[in-house]
Amino acid sequence: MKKAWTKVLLKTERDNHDSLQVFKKHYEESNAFVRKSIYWLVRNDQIDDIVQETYLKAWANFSNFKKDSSFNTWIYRIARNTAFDYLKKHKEVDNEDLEQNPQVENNLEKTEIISKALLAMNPEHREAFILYYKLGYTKAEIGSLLEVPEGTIKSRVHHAKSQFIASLKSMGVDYE
Amino acid sequence: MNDDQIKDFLNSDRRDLSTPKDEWREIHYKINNKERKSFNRHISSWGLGFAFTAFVIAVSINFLNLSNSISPQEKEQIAEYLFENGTDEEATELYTWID
Repeated sequence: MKKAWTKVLLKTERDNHDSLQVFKKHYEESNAFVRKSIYWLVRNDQIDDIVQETYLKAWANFSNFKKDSSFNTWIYRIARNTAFDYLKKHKEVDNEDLEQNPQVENNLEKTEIISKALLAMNPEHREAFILYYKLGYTKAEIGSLLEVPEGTIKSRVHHAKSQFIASLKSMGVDYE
Repeated sequence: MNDDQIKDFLNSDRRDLSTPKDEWREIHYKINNKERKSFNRHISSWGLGFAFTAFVIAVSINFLNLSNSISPQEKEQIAEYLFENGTDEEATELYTWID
């Protein structure tokens, strides 16, 4: 009995170890993409916690990951949900920070202008905008990534682009 | 502003997004920690399960002993009481028990 129990424990341990090795390989391959996606969604330097939380959630659900599908697509969905949760929690604090710091208003640098213009958008519009203009996905690819019709993505990118240009203009940046 | 200009503008943000050196180690540590906690919870729930089963068995044994400790006369009295005050099914069941 004891021998059988030890065998079961050892097998579980070995399976777990093997899964973790596979997961680590996925981590190494997807990490830069995940980090970049989260950074552009939340526009904040402090994204280490969000990245870690994304991978912890991914590990907790790793048994649901279908091995023949793309890990990047799968983990992107986890990353964007984690990023949106973070934004919901920190929305008020971030707005207060910007409003109470006149230096930010008076001395806007390009990255800050980009942040302001992006954060002014609806999160779903921002996501489509970033995936299209920054991460280089086509509208069809974004549609399948987010499981949304391509037409919806075209509309989101269009609205986001108009809003982005309007925001830049309101901050004194004009490319015309 | 055309698409290329938007891309150029976005590319002007060149913040360093390099991964912290120990990130995997930290994730690995947290995974292990969670697994250990979940394993402990698992073991605790098994422990509780065993304790509950043992309790039920102990109560059952105690009940059986208690049943056997009632004398036939007392059983008959209970059956008569039930025959008069309880339902027919209860009394019949009790007579069967006595036999």
